[in-house]
Amino acid sequence: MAITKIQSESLNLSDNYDFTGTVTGAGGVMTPAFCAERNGDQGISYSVRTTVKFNNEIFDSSNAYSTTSGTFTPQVAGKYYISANCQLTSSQNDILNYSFIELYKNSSVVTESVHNNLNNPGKIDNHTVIAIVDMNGSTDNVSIQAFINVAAGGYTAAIRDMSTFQAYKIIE
Amino acid sequence: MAQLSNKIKEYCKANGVSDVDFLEDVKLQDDSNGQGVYIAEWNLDIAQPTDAQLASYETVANTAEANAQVDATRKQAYGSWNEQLDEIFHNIDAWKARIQTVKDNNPKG
Repeated sequence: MAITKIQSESLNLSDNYDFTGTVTGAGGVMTPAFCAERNGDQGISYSVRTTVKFNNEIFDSSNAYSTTSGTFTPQVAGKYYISANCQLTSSQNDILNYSFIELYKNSSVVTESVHNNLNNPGKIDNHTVIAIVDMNGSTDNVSIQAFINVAAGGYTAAIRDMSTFQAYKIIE
Repeated sequence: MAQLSNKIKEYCKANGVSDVDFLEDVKLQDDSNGQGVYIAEWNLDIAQPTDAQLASYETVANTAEANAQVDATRKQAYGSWNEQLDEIFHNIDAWKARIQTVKDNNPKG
């Protein structure tokens, strides 16, 4: 029997209720959702905005993340909690001047994380970005870009193994 | 092969621009799709170089990269400023000899 109305005086909130049927219209699901990581370092050129390819999917509930392009394009409209963690490194100590990662929605930056080491160049920067992004459920996509500036040429730079990118739809 | 940013620096230097800001003046992009790095935005007053012009700076950019690597190696071998000041205070001639050895062991091209 469908319950159309519950009056507060008829429901004892301290009682236990054991439902044997199906409760509908309550709660929600936090999908589409995905989590991907870097498997192995991704070498990058310095002073270049580079799309990070999180090439190993931990899970991807709706096949919405592409390991080829590094983009998440969910096909369900709504608000998504999105985060990424990246470790950026130079191959030599004391040359990493500054670095940042940016969370892009389509071609616009949503948020970024910046480390400025100009007064004391280092080797490794850890970055985290978090945002809640409204997605249209068709063409909107999000991706991560990384940038490293080093004090000396001739060295290599990389996005480290185990950097992660993940998202899930929030219940609205 | 020299980094594109270094070839652009050398091109700019040869055309009267001594410093390039790769956040504002020139924006380089790599979409990680196998197509490599390209110039996404060129905001300097001098003309954007062609691929052929950039290729002509390969050698000089390679030398600059190698020298920068030498600088970084020397810097590590020199030690910190406070360690060096202490060395100078105690024996400036020994400090000079040590610095000269570092330079001799790490020559520039």
